[in-house]
Amino acid sequence: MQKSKTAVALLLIAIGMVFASLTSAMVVRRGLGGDWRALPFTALSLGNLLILMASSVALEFARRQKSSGLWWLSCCLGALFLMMQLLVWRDLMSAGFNVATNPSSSFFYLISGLHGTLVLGGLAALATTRAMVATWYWHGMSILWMYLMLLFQWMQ
Amino acid sequence: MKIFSTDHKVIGKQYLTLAFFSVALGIVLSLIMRFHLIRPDAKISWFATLWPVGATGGIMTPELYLSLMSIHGTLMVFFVLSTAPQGGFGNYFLPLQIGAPKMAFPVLSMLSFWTTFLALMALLASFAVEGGAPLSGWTAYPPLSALGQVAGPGQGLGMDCWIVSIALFSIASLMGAINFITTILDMRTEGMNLMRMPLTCWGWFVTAIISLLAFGVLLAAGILLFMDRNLGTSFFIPAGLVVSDQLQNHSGGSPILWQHLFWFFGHPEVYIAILPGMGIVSTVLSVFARKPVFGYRAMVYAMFSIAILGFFVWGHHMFISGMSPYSSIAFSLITLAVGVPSAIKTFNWLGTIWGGKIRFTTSMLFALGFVSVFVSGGLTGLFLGQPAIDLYFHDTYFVVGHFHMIMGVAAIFAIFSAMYFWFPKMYGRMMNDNLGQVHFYLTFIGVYAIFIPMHFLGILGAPRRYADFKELEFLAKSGILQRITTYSAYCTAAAQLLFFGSYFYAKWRGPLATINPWDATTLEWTEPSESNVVNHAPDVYSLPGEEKDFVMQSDQ
Ligand code: HEM
Ligand SMILES: [Cu+2]
Repeated sequence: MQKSKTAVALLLIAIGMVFASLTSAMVVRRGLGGDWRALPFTALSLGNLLILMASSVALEFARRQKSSGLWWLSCCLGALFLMMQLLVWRDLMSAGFNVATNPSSSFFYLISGLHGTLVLGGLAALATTRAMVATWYWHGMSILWMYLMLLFQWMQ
Repeated sequence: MKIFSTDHKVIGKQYLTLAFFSVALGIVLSLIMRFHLIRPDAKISWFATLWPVGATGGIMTPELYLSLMSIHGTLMVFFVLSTAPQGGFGNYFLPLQIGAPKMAFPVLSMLSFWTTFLALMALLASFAVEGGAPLSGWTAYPPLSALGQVAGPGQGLGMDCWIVSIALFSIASLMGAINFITTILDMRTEGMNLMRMPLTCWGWFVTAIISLLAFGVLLAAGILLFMDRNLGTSFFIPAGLVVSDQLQNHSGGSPILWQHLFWFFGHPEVYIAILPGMGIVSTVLSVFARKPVFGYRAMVYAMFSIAILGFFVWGHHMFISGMSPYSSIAFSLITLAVGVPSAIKTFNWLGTIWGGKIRFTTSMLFALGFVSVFVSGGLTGLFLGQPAIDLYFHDTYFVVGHFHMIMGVAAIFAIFSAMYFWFPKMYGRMMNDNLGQVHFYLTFIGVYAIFIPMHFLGILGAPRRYADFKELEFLAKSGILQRITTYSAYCTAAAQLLFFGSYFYAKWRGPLATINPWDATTLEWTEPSESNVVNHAPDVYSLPGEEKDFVMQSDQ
């Protein structure tokens, strides 16, 4: 339906604005002084990015081939991504980075938390509908996370 | 009437009711503030009853004054000006005017209303929590807003309520924006191409686009502020800050960062408040001048250029916050450039009524009043837009005068104009025009009497957000200005009772309205049974040689 396509496109723009503002806040905050510390990212977070992207790819095939199995595979990968994000958080905490430790970690917890919440919403959507727009949203979340990981690398 | 209705008309009325409640409360708060400004030492027993801490013994503390001011501003900017014209009239009339059976997503409309309602409740709850309502105005500048109780009683839980309220409001506005844009893009009836939409619809459309891009920024900023307050982060709080003799345990943040984020939202927000009004006024002027809108396309393009430019001028709120003079000049130039599309609109309004057979209905008077206050307020914007002048005027009553004229009063006039205009459609009855005329003239004179003296106070250097001026020697002789303002405010507020009285009387007892009492052309004035295929522009009036002086959009 045209309506829902328009709406999801608009939703993605709105979400984009939230993360654009957080990006600009991060750039400014990092430039303020010498207190910015690099986060100890491990292979885990990179692997996790790949999981989310794989989930997107699976979903795209599921949509084209109308394959229910692939659709559920994509959902499972999505759920796996969320659980792994928690592991990433646990690693960060055990490395001594909590929410208030450093602006870099404050931003990371906030941004990954927000993104995770949006992914959770996407999972709920994928579980209840086969609409094309749900896949748009899901791809949007994958691309967003790819961008955010690049951003965090660049902000190291 | 179902409470959780998905009917766009019901939702529109719900929004309007919420806005009417908020405006009434906002006015009461402002009257209390105005009273305090002329009688700062007065002992009022019911102050003590209402605010045992803020007004012990009946004498208002500066903190209480600031909290009244903050809730007044937040109510008016968000819950009145960003709610009534868009959520209220927009939900009700957008589908009717474009010939759609309903909004694109009725459930989303319902959700956005009830989220707005929750937001209002969260804001009002701040009066009840420990410490009372927040103190930092509608702009909530850190660092004081980011520190909690130590920065003042209302900066504790009250400030958290404020942030929650604003976050909910942002989410509701985003939902509304998605719904409006989709409705306009995908739900227009046959023949209703974009350039045949009434300018009201363009107003709602452009406003929705601005909301979509702006509210996410406010949401993000609100979350950061919330984290600074509750999770110990330091986004906005610098190191070594001492407040109330206590060293704050934060480091490295910057309050200016908040200002950038806030005003990146905040300036577009002022257009969210005014653009639907511009649309309404354009339509009303053309209906009652019996002439097509002068320069319809120019009006549309002007709205878009205002919207676009509006995203690049936020720095004009921060000239004094310490920015590079080069940025100041850039922001200043873009700010003054907004004057161009604004002037285009103004000239086109004048062009629309020029030579028309004007019918001076109440609705028309308020539309004309809108043009008047918009120009008066716009002129002072040209002063403020220049860094050298703004350094002096910033944070004085001059700014208060400017934005009340151009945003507060102008948008309220548009709401009144819309209310008098659409009342017959909404309730099937007519409001009394004589009462309306009296209401208009009292209000029109009243608002000038309130806000012109504020400009003088500002020129004298009276700072805004002060509870008490009696210690300031250089203002010793300005008491008369304060008194004029306060007494005018009393009278103007009293005049609004006329409106409320007339409104409720008409709703229940008013004479029945005909289907198209104003001889207007747009689709909401057709019989519901008629086809709504559109064949004409929204403003075809006074064709030479025709008996009937208007052509409805759906006429053959
Ligand atoms: C040509 C048009 C305009 C210009 C050049 C202009 C310029 C400015 C400037 C420079 C300020 C900052 C003053 C200061 O804080 O020192 C300001 C404040 C403000 N303006 Fe305008 N303005 C214009 C139109 C508008 C319109 C159309 C609205 C609303 C509908 C508006 C609403 C406001 C508000 C609400 C503030 C005060 C915000 C606050 O500090 O609380 N202005 N304006
Ligand atoms: Cu501005």
